[in-house]
Amino acid sequence: MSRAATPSISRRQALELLLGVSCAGVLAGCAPGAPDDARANPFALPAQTPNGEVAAGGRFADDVAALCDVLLPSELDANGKVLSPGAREVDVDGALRIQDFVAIASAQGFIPPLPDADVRRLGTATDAFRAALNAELALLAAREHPLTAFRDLPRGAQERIVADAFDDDARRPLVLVARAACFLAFLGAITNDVGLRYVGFPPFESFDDGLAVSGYPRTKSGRLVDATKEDLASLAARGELDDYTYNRAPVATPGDDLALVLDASGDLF
Amino acid sequence: MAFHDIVIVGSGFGGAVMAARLGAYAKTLASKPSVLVLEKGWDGSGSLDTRSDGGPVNAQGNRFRHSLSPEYTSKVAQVFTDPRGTYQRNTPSMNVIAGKGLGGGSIVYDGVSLRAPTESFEEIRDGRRLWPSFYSRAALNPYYALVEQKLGVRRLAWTDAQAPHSQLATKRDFVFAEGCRRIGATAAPLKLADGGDANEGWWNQGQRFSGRQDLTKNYLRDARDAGVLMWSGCEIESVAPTKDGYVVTGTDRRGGASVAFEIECRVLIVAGGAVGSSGLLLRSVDRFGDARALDPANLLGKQVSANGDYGVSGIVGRQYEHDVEGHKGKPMSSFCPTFFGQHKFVIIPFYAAPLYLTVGGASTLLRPDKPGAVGRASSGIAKDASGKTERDWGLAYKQRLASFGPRMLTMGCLAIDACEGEISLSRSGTGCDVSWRETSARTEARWSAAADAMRRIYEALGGEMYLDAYRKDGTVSTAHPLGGCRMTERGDAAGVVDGCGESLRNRNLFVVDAAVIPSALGVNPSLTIAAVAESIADRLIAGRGTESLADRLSG
Repeated sequence: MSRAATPSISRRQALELLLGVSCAGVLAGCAPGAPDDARANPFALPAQTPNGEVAAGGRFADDVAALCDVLLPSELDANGKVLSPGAREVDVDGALRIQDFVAIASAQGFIPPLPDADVRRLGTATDAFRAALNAELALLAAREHPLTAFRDLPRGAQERIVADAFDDDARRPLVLVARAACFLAFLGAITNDVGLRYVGFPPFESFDDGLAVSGYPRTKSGRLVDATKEDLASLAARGELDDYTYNRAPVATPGDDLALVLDASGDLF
Repeated sequence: MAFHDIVIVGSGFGGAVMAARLGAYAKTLASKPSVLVLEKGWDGSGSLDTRSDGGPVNAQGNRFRHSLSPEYTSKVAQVFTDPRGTYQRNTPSMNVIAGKGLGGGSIVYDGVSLRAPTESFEEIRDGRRLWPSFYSRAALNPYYALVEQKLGVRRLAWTDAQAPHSQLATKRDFVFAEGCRRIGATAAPLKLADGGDANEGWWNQGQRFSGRQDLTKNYLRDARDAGVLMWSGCEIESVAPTKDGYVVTGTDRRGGASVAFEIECRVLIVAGGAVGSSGLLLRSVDRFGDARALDPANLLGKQVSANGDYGVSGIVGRQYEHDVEGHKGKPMSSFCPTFFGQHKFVIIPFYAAPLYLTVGGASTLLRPDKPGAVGRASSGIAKDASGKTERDWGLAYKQRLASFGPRMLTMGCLAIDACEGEISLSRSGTGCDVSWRETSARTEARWSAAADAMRRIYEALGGEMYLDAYRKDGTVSTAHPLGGCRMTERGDAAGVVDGCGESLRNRNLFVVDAAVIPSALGVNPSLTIAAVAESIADRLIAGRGTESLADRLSG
């Protein structure tokens, strides 16, 4: 893993962090000068893993990557094989690389509305957000265990730091954004469908076309049915249709007469 | 300066109907007046505006995708919120989710098409009937029928004895019906607009923005065929009166550029939705003098209804595992109307799982601390069975998502609320905020009854109600905002526009969309908005009860 993938913080800034200086100054220093290579995906996962396999990960590239694994952990076996996907496997970095992610995610309601100052502070450049978060995590880790990076702390300590950050009005926006990126990547099919499959969805029919399930009827074997040429009711009657229905009426509710509120066409009177 | 006889700002259920009807009428006039639709969002259909920005057309012939990537969702939907109220303790705040793009709300709706109940038209406030006298359920019934025919609305069924198999309610609805039965209520199949579906109703999350019916497949297609021009990517900043009409000022963002424009017109129809239209007029108020005041009664943006939207999520018992999973079948296909008679709400089970699970502020799977609390009084995160604080992150939460996925059922109620919302210009002046004033006793009583009914349905099914955003965060989230430019009887001055949607002091300036609806409807409003637009178009073309469109266009 290339060290260049980590947003750089100057020696002076690192010293400021260790001395407990507010991250505001760090932000001011990082925003304009964040390196281009911070946008590189440190995990280099394929956009989609069609056979359901997910790649095993290496060390975390930076503290943000470690934070995302705390928020949305992957589960590994003793050999490092991924048993269930986490932030890394769903490519949270792909979400964080979206230009103006903070501003757009806030405007779209994926995170609670942030004060304008926070959106301006975090929303103008992806690199700035990542640098700010790395700086903040470095600061918090230093308080927990001097001279140890957040990504090198034991998981319990990392979780304590994250829980505290959620309870801290000043830091809450940062972790909320990170959480939003994790779960958007996990359930939002931004760069792959691994997370959706983990929670029980079928694989995308065509990820490139943005098509999860076309909706066209299928047989239980997965064959698409052309409803203009085949009779769906017959297929259903033969039990061959991948059916979304029970095709039976619910049991009536004694004493509840819908004719009192609904007309014959199914509208309320 | 460019000139078009009729300019329509917005292309949802109001704007699309007006574009189709007025466009077709314009073709019959000797003067061949031109009609232009300006839409802020893109042309996801890929067929109405050849200059529209957007990704390549997909295999289904459009630009829609199944992704919650914010880059993508910002093209098809817009969220308006209450940035101040969110941080005020014990104050409800409001989120509005609105469609954006050619087709407006139809590109993100689920097709529910119910006629509004009679009593929603009879709402009285301060001794006044809120709706102008023209409107009643009976008066709108012919227009409802027109819209239903155009959109292909039909009632679903439980069995295929009398309906094609593809028009059946889903397994999820059958489970919901069983839960209703166990609490003494009844579920019924919904009426849906699915006539334009590529696959005759086999909707699901994968195609909700694509293969199914929306306004680009009917009204807007008719408008295009009638010669109506449609420009996407055009954001309107303000409108102002001229000697003979109006000038519309905006920015055309197609082609990666931002090109300012001004277009003059004789007839202007504002149809940007409750928030969009109210915001545009609020931004334009100063450009109208006192004699032509846009808002003579100071009601612009006021008395906005959330249409009683109140959503919850939860899980059903393991015996129903996989029967409620929502990614197959229509996202909404049944409802429970039992409580409408007494409490004025209906309950609709629906599929929105990825969205619900993702949206951080309103979609955790955390139990409310105090399920019976009002507004934000239940803030705080509950303890789990072992006394540990529940978290909406970490391994346990991820595992819970996987275990809940097959058992998760979301429900919402729609109620006749008391219009406690308000739309205002945001402090930056570039957008709109919405807010929710203190919830009235009437609204609170209806929501409490609805929340209780939904909780009992979950429990009757062996499950548990989890999310209750209003109790937990004080958040009112609605996809059905109504009002802001309310209709009123001409001479009554209790609104912003008259019964034909025309500004009380500005001839030929109309508002025709959700913004003019003066009361909550208690059901999904798209059909009513379209029916109101049909009735306004009808009266304008015929000159019935208002000056005819032909006379307006000739000067």
